[in-house]
Amino acid sequence: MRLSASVATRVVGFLLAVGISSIAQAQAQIPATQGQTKPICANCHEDKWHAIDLTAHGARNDSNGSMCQACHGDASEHLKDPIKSKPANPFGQGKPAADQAAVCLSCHSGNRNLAFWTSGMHAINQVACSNCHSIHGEAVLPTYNGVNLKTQKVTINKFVTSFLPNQSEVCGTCHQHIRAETFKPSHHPIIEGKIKCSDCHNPHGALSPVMVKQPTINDQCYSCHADKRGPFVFNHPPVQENCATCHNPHGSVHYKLLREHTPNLCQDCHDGSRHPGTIYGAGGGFTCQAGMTNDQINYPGCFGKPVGSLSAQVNTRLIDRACLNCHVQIHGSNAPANRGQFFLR
Amino acid sequence: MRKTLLSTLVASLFSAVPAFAQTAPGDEDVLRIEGGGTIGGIYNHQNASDKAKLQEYQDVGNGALSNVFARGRNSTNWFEGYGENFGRDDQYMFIRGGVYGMFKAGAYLNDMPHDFSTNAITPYTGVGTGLLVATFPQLDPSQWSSFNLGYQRRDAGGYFEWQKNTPWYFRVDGNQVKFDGTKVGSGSNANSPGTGYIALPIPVQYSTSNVGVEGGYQTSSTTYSLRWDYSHFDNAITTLNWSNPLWGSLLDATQLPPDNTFNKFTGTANWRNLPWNSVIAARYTWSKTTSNVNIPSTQLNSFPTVPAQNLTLPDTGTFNGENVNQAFALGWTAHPINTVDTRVFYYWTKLQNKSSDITFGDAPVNPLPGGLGCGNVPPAPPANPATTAWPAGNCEPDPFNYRKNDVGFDVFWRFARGQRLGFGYDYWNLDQTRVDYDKAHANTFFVEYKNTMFDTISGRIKYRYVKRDSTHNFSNDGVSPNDPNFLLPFTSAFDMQDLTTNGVRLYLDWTPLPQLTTSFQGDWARNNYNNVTYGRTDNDVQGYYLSTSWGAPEGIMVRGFGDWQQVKYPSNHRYINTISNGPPPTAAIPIATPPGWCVISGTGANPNCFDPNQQAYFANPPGSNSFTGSYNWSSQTKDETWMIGVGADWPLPFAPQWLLNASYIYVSNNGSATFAAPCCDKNGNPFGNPQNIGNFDDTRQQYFNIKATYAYTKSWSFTAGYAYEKFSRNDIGSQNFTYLTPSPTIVAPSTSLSYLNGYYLNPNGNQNIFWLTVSYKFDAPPLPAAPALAVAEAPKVVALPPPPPPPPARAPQVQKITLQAESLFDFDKAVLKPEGKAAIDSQVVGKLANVKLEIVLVTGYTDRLGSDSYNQDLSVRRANSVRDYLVAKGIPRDKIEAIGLGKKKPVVECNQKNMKELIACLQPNRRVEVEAKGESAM
Repeated sequence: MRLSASVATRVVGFLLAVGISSIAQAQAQIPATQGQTKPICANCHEDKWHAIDLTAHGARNDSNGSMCQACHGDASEHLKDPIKSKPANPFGQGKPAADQAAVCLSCHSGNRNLAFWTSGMHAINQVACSNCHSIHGEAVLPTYNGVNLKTQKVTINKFVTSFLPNQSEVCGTCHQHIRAETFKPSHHPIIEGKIKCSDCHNPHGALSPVMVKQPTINDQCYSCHADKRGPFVFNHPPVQENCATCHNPHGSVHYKLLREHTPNLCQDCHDGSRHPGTIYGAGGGFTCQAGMTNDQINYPGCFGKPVGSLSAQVNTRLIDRACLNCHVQIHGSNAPANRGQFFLR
Repeated sequence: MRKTLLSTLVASLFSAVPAFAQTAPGDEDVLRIEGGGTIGGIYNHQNASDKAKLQEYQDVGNGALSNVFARGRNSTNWFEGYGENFGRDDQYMFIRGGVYGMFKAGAYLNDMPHDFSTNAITPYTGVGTGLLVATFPQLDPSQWSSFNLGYQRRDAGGYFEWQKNTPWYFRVDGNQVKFDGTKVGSGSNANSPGTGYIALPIPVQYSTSNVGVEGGYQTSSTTYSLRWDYSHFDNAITTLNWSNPLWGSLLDATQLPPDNTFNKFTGTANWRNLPWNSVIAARYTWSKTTSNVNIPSTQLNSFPTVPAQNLTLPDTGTFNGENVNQAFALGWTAHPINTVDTRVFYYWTKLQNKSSDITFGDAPVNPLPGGLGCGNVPPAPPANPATTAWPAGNCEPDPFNYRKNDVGFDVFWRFARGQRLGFGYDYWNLDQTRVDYDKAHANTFFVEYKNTMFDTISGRIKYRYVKRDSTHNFSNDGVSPNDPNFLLPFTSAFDMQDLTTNGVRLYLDWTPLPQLTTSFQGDWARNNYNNVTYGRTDNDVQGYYLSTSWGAPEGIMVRGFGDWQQVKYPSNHRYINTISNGPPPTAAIPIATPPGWCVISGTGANPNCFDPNQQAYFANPPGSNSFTGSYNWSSQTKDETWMIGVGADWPLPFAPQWLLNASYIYVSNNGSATFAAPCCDKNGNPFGNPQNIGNFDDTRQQYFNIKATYAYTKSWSFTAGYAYEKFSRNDIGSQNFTYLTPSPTIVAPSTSLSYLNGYYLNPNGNQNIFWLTVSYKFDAPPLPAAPALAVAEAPKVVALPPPPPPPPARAPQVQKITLQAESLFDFDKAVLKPEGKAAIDSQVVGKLANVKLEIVLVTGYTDRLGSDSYNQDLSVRRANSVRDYLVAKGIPRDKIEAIGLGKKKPVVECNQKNMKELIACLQPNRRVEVEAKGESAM
């Protein structure tokens, strides 16, 4: 008898769940209450309630703890005897990510940022909402767009003038190779807190290969670097095809986020007569003239050497920015004739 | 049972009603706010000639640090606001808010500096404007003026979203980004590297204005949206005029990025809850970018005595740039059976170049350095230049058109509990207009295995294989080895060349002890470029990353990471010499030259050998520079980067109001380039005399941070901090730096000088930062407690599928053990005393040893003396301490619940007037109760 009644209760409960969630969805939210009190759950679980109180989740709660139960499951038996019966709670350790996502998505699936959740790499790789979001965690103020992220308790970073928690610490917990790139000398201001991972990527899923928000990599880069959009008179086709051919957006040991030191980066595509095909090594550059060999301040590479020997400073095609010293407008040029053809102006 | 069912039905109907109800009069709906602020100061002692390397994106100058924040809501309205570092170059503030179910809106302001160099020098006046003037030569750098190379960026924007008419929504957002300053740049003095270049501070006066309007319809089963984005990029200075050192300080011109306008339409659709638990998602975008540029008819290329060399001869004076970009993406994810996840996707991209096509005359007729024509093969000049048009040159604007299709699928199968296998395949092809490659396609496979069977260790390993094939456009190959185009078929571009990639990635997460977690990631990939004669041949990437964290209960928490990466780029090249210095070789080397091959010796020898199989050299006559002919060479660049970081948070056990944080990071890169060339020139060195480079972007960074926070009260706290940062860069390119650098082939020393501004001169430095702040925060007033609810009336809001039926069980036992607080903790503390640990060992751990535990509930209680909230907090912290200790003793963490009930449920009531007696009487209330439910192992 116990079995059939409990089955009946569960069936009704399930139908009600579907019915209620579709009513709730039609309203797009569970109604806020008036004359607020704490939910009854807070009588024991005070700290959990306090963390959620001033958020949108807390606003939709009522003294019966409807919002608590909407995520953690029915608690009526639990109220009678907390030890004997606990809510179903899909957020416990080891519970499947898809179950957790189903709970959040029962309200949030229509959210414009979550529209592509199931198509995205996080859903496929079984990342759960609570891996990144801390609904009940310590209220870390301020939040990003009103949602708590599980920031690391121990911060490992340079001195940052910003008081805000750093979003890249959340993503870097799993994406360790990206975290490593952000600490390299040339980087987008990610560890400084001025750019967030979510400025380029949509962690909630997107219909593009690495979940960038725009349809192509170049569109994403141009959304900030509008000066590179052009269109230019003279184009550099690899630039228009994919910025990431030459640049690593997360960080690099070479200046300007380049993947390889110039001139070698350019020489990997460009060969031919004269300087594109020349070896630029540690050998000296210009020939020391009279007057340079005793001028240590202006010509340290010639100081103390005989006139006519090679300076210790390397070739002008290797100093500074190498090829880009002359081929300045490498992303495209509007200069006329050969000045534009070779990106010199 | 029936009564419960009925009450459930009724209650659930009523729970839907409040959606329509209004706030009844007399209800209190107070806006409850929490917030606070911080004020303090920072002092920075920098030891660096060029401070920019230590402060590239932040304002770390002396001054005041500050922040203010507030957040609040009532049942209908909410807001959140924050601002920091007011008045500094990196200040940031935002405000957001709305009415639940009606609208939300926000606005922000974000400032950021970008510093390149603080002590660059230049001979020019007018830095930051579009006119840089100087009279050359300027041979004494001590007379040049110093300037800050860098810009300030400001991003301000906001959004408004209307949500009342659900399922419809409407949103408008926009922002404006302004740049003000200078950035790194330079200009060649003429058309040859032999005549040098000059560093130019490029003015940056950009303003990008963006507006977006979006509307959509969203329910749990479908979503549609339509969005229009408009962006206008405005550059206040599109031409930079600068005095050219080579041409008598006459004004030259560099074209800076043009204004552009960007319009984009995006439509998306989602259908959920389809058969097989499927979701279909689609997005289409169409965008157009336009620009307009005036083409100048002259460009400074010589002294005024040879005006013909300054002519650019465009066939039209205005360039109208237009790019149209379309993209379509479709994804179908399905969950056909419980253990299988599948995904099928299709992406399509098309870029059309509709810009005007401009042709430039080949003026005058010679290739570089005479005129501005682009030809390598000189056509004949017109008979009468005054009346006949110049022949068209071959300056090729290279308009880029592109279309790519990409289709693929992946399947993940959970074939056993905690084990998952994944497999995927992807195919893409593309067509484009590009001088070297016009078609390519690639097949990609991956296979992966994931194991989460065990409690303390889980891992995932993934193997990826890519095979890309491209059609190298051979229509440009030259006819004979004397023709530069003969080399084109042998030259590869690594972004398009045939490629085979093998890559492995491994993730491992291991929790050897309850408080110790480690996480490892290993990457290994080899990209082999196939069929390469010249160009990059390979790309090897390895990376190994380890992070770990350890924490003692209520005590110190330590986290650390260690990473090592290595990247290699080997490549093949050819050096082809032209005779620009010295007489042509006359000493004949008796080598017979087969027909069609380069003529390499004797009178009329042309060592411009574009045949990859030819190695041409000649004995140099005395007096000429030691040039060789043409030969093949190879090189490899390598970067080896490693970094370690460690940090700790330590609440001092002997002084609980103090919290110490410290972290240290060390990042190091060693870069190198090695070369190999055939043997040997007349001096006995390999051709080109290659010298390996041992310092190629060798950088070292150190960041040390320590701070101490003293919580004076719950509201006030003080923080003092110190940071030490150090940066150094050792690179061959800035070794033996000279502001005035002659070119390797000096024609006349003062006219072939390059003028540098020292942007790379002084990268090394360190800084010591001291800072001190005081913070205040206040909590929102608490809500009144929920009225005691008759449990039978508790309405059910069940949003979850029902739990599985419990397994048939033996009668479970419940044990309750009460421990007195005095035996566990010192007065007003939540850290377990040694006697407390012993008490738990003997009274709790022993009893639970042989029980198959279902749940353990640890509840902390205090007596009634003191405030509600304080006692509540203390009881929670004490329960947590006992819980953590039990976990350390081996009780599984997921079976223990810890709660605090503060003053509630006292076991004794006392009314003594004498305080000492009252405290003694209330002692039984100060307790921690441990209730365990489980089956006895017997």
